[in-house]
Parts: sequence; structure tokens; C-alpha cells
Amino acid sequence: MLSRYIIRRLLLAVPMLLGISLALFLIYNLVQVDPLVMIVGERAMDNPEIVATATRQWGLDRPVWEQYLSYVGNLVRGDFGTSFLTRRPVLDDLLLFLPATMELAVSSLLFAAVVGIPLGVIAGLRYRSTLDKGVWFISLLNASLPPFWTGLIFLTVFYYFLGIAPGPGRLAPRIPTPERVTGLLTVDSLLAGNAEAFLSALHHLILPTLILGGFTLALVIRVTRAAIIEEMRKEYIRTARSKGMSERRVTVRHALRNVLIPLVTILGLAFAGLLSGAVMTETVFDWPGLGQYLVRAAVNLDYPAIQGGTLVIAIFYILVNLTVDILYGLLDPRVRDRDG
Amino acid sequence: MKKFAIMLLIGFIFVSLGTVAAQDNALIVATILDDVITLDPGRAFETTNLTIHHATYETLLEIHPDDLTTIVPGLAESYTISDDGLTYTFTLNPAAVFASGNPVTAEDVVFSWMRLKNIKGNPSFYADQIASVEATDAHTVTVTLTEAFPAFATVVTAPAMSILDSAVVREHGGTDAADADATDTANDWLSQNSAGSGPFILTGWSPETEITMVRNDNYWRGPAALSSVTLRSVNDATSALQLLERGDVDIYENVDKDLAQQIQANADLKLEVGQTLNITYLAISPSDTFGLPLSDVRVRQAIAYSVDFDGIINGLLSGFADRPASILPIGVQGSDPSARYERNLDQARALLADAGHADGFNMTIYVGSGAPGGIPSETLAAKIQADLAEVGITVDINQRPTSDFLTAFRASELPFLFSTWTPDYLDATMWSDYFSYAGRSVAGRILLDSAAIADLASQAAAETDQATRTQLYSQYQAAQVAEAVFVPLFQPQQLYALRSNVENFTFHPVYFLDFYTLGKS
Repeated sequence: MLSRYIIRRLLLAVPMLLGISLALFLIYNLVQVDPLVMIVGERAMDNPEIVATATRQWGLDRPVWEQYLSYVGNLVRGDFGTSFLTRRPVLDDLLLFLPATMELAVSSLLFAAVVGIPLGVIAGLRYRSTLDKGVWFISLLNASLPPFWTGLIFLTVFYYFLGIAPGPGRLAPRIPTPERVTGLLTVDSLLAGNAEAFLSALHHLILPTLILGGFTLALVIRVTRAAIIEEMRKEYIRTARSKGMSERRVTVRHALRNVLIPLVTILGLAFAGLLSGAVMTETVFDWPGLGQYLVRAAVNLDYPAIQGGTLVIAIFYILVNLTVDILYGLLDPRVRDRDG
Repeated sequence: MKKFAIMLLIGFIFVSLGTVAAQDNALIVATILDDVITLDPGRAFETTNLTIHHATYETLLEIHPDDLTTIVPGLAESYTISDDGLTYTFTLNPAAVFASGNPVTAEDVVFSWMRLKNIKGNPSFYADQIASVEATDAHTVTVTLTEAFPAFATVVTAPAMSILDSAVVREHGGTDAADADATDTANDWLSQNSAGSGPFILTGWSPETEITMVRNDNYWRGPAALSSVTLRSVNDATSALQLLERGDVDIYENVDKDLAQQIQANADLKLEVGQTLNITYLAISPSDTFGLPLSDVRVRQAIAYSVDFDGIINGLLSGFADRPASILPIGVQGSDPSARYERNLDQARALLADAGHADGFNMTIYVGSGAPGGIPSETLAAKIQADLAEVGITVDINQRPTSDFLTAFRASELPFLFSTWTPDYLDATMWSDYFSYAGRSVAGRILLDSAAIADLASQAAAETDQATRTQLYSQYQAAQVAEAVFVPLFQPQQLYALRSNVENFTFHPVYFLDFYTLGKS
């Protein structure tokens, strides 16, 4: 049953992605920018032979609808086109930049979940205590301080003045980058058996994770706390307590289980958001990720890159939503039964 | 206990890599690498590749930073030009060898230049004037040009004209055949490795991350002092400065001018200034198709007299710029800054009144999204807007993404704008070919149509006697100044911040850093 449900959802995603790609394609053709300016460069534009070769190579001599059809045809084969700016296949570019963002997003999500859920539970259980207020303050601080500001402050204090944290970037400049396998530096350095690079990569993750994960952390704390407060007031908790169940068991087995449902939604959306919304953190920490790539593509109207990046983010949102819905079913039998 | 262990672990991770010992003689440069598309000398046409190609390859002739108007021997120990200016004969230095150990021969020159030409890539226009290249013997190359082209010896010094080790490049799919644009497959290999005779060897390029080179121990002019050079991508200025101040990098390239004072105040660092040959210029269309008063030369001159050049250079560029009189930058043949416009509002008002615009008029300035010389375009546009307001000219600012701006500029749709020109080689034709002829290149885009300018440009370009040529270029400069279609705003300087132990810095306006001369004490 579940597999049919997944297939149905994935099939629904196809027209959605087609719509997105068509909209992007049309917008670009409305802008009326000559892509040759990007491709050939200022001076070579004066040489008709170079211009003719480039026009032919990039298919710019064909009508727009034909360009779109061949674009979609290529997409189906996994070819996202070639970036005007880097001249590399967009897919190669995305694979180049995505791992950096992925590494940061995963570590931020882990940080937010591992620290945020216990803090939220404690705050919710000790509703209105000093502890609760303290946790509330942390969450408020994280949610309201802009990451480009905290990022700069953290770098200046912990790297520049104290020298206990590493500087911007993913690896210390004097350490050679390990051979690229996955693009995740922590994994690649381990595969290469390079302990120095591994520690440096891990080390470089700490500050940006604190900053990027901070916002998600605040969200997780708030949602957990609010849900715990609400659940602990419910009838079934009173029943469980009256049966003589230990308070720990009441919280973990009963209340927390129900809290997980809103949490899964929040974490799922937060993960997709971390992938596409890390631009500020990536800029401050000079983190060569998807955010930096897309900003540069947008500034330079590098249309194949914008289109490819947007599609990848859309695909991520679709997959995350699907995963969240499946997890819902596993966590809440009511949802599962209704759909099944 | 568990908590304590976790805290200890976190503490350990924090401290364990706080400092990484600096390797002796390895140079780390913080720079921006986002322009690199390929490192194949036959295909690359960006900026960073020029520095890399200069370090890993060599050209037949060279121009050294201490004298930009003199051509000195490189791989060729001498050359002769036939009387009709069509045939160049180069004699190669027999001592020259590639990093592979192969000698540099005439065959390699033929291969390199024909490959450049036949790939039909962005830098192929360097070989436009070449009709044929022949190896007369192992150390003699004869080049025949399609027309007399006195700038050819200067073109030969451009990094795109580098000589490649033909045996090595062929081994990796390279070819100089007529259909090389379809059959040459050496691009990937040449982007990760080099096949040159320069003082360094390219060992890798990770896009947007780093470029690594090691010393060529067999360099025929004697090995470099540095054991290796790594260019690391650091996109943010604050990050770059912090890395430099902490000693994690040795050089920070392209320093923000705002940071200059901070660097000069730090005893561990030093600031080096490189004079570029780039020009940011105001372009004012003389065409009447726009229906603007600009078609009157007096109005264009009035604009030139209204701009507060000193305010731009001292206020917006912290003084790190020079200013030529015309599009020929200071340092180039025929350029003389004493003829430049200086701000004179009375003169500007008088010219406007003469032209029948005593009360001024309205127009729009079009700008891209970049930051010429480090000044954001919108800031520079606002400064010009304020300057022209003082003589009654009301200017609206129209800013667009650079690609959009260039599209419109190229289509001759913009009457008033500023833009920047960067050279690929140092002959005056690098400017006069592009800013002089009606319907061609930049002059065409702004609809300049002046017989006087075009005649002087073609006479100077064809002149082989250097003294006469200099004189023709000064007349050319005077004609450009009088026409006031291109008004240079500044010729920016490029700033480098170095750790104080980095020595023998030199700057070249085409390839920038020269790693061969650099050393660390």
C-alpha cells in the first residue's frame, strides 16, 4: 500500500516540475538578454567566426520552443544544460556546491534536534520556572539575531581574537584538499585516511553550524515546549499518571510520542529551508555552497544554472514533504489508516 | 562524568587544530577563483588564468613590469621583421626546455599557435593576423601575417600565445589540425596539469576552491625560491583579511581600498600597490538618434568639465588611482595625462550656454551591477549625478544586471553610461582598435563616427617607426580629448596585502603576480 502511495506522489511531482521549468524558461525569454554576451565575452564579440561557432554550439540559432523541448528532453536524461558562467554542466556544478551545503545543513539539523528537543521538553515540563525562562531566552535570541551579524561576531571573537575556532572556509588554507569522492569533506578526508583534514573539516563546521542551526534550534525548542505543555494537560496523561506510571515513562512514552508529529513537520521543512536558505551563513563563512552558487548565477543571469538550481531545490522540497508524510503515517495510525 | 567527557571532547576538537604550522616556502594566496572556466591556454579567456599561465608557461617575447614599452627576449633570444612588416622570424633560445625535459623547438611554436587559432575559442583572435607559422629548422620559426601589424611583437607576449609542449599535449588529445575546434580533447587534462616551460607546474584545480602549483626544479633559467603556490578561494574581504592577519594565508589579492589603512597600521603586514592599465570611462554618445543635446560637442565637453575627478579618486578610491587624458592609459605609447580635463564649472556653464542649454537638461545614465575599481556602480553613478546637477544637468540613474546592461550597450541603445576596459596586451592598438572606428566595437556601440579619430588610429597602428608612432598616438589622444566621447574617470590601482616576510613583490598589468620573483624570509 505504502509503495503505491509513494509512486502516486512521485508521479504528481512530474507536472509540478514541468510547470516550474516552463515558468522559468518563459521568464528568461521575456528578459531579452543576449546570452552571447555571457558566453563569448566583450572582445571576441567582434569576431564573427567565434560568434557563429558559439551560437551554433549553444543552440541559440533555434526557435525558443525548440530550445525548451530539447531542454526538457535533456532533463529527462539527467542533463541540466551547461552554465554560461562556469561552462560546466549544471549538474556537475550542483554536485560541486551541493555537498558543502548538505554537510552544513545536516550538521545544523542534528545540532538543532539533539539540543533543541531535550531543552524544549525540559522547558515544557517546568513551565514558567526560571529554567523555562532561560530556555525561552536562548530561543528568542537565536530566532531574532541575524546570522550575518552573529556570524561576523563569532568569527571575530573566536577566530580572530581568541584563535580557538578556525577561520572562514571549509578547511584550513594550508591543508591540501583531500581527493574528491563525495564532496563532503568530512567523509572524503576519512576515505583518504587523512586525520588532519578530517579534524580541520569538522572544526570548520562548528561555528557555521551554531549560527545556521541556531534559528532551527529556536524553532525546535518553541514547538517542543508548546506541544509538551499542551499534551501534559490532556486527559490521557492524567489517566496514565493515575495508573501509577512513572513520570519519566509518562513523558517519554506518551507525551513525547505525540509531540513528534508536529516536530517531524518542522524538522522536514527546516531541512529543506537549510538547503536553500543558507545564503547569509554561506557568505559570512565563505562557504562554497548552493546559496553562493545561486546568488552568483542570479546576479549574472546565468539562466541554465538558475533553472537547474531551482529545480533541484524543488525536488528536495517534494522529497522532504513526501518523507514527512510517510513518517506521519508511521507515527500516527490515524493518518495511516485513512490513507490506506 | 559522561557530561565531563563530552565537554572534554568538544574542547579537544576546538583546540587541536587552532594552529597549523606554516610550511616553509609554500605560498598561500587568498583570492577569488570564480572566474576560472578552463586552464587550457588555447581556451581560457578570463583573469585568474593569466597569472597561472604566466607561472607555468612562457612566451617567445616578454614585457617586464619595470618598463612596459620595451619588448625583451623570452623563449626566443632574438627576432627580425621583414621590410614589408609581413614576416617575423624568431630564433629560439637553445637552452630552453619544458618541465617535462623536452627541448623547446620550433615545432612546439607551430603547434601552439595553430592550435590556438584552430580551436576557434575566445582567445583565438590573438592569432587572427597569423596566415602561417613554419618551422624553418629546430630553432627558427617563420611567421607570415595576413597584413602588416606592428603590434604583433607585443601580442606575442600575451599569455594566450604561450608555447606548449606539443609531445605532451598530443599525448592527451591535443591537436593543431584545422578542425581542432571539434577534435581537440586536451581541455580537461590542461585544466589540471600544465605542459609548459615556466618556473612552476600546475598540479590541480578544484573549481571554486583552489589551484595548486609546485616548483619546476628543472626550470632553465634557474629554479624559483618558492616550493609551491596555492591559490585559495576566499570570496569575502573581511574573511581574507582575517586569514592574512592570523597568518593562515601569505598574500591577500585585490584588497578592498577601505581596508588599506588597517593593513598599513599592522606591523605584520605590508601593502603593495600595482598600477593597472584598466580604465573606467564615461561614454557620451555624439549621435543625434537619441534626441539629446549630447550630439553637440560643447555639451559633451561641458560634462567633462563638470565631473569632480579628484573627488572620485580621493573620496571613493582613497587616492588609489591615476587618470589619463584619453582612453590610452598612462604607461601606454602616446599617453600624456597633462592634457586631461580638470573640473571647471564656469567653463562648463559657459559651454552649455553657448550650446543653448544654459538651464541644463534631463537625461539618464545607464550602469551595470559591478563595482569598477571597487566602487559600487550605484555609488559612482550617484556621484556623477550630483556633479552634473551643479551645472543644471539632471541625471536619472538606470542600473541593470551587467549582462543586461552590456546587451543594451552592444545594441547601441545607451547614450550615456560608464564602463571599464581591461587590456590583454600592452600595445596602444589594444585601445585604439576598439575606441576609434565607426560601427566597430566600443566606438560602434556609442555611435562615434569621427574621420579624424579613425584616420589617426589607422595611421598609428600601421606605423613601424616608434618615434613617429608615439607622435601619431599623441595626436590621436588630442583628437579623442577634443571629441569628449570617452572621458576617463580613473585608472585604478590594485592593492595587495602581504605578510611582512613575503619579499620581492612585482606587479604586471596583464598577468598581475609573478611568483618566480617572490620569496619568503
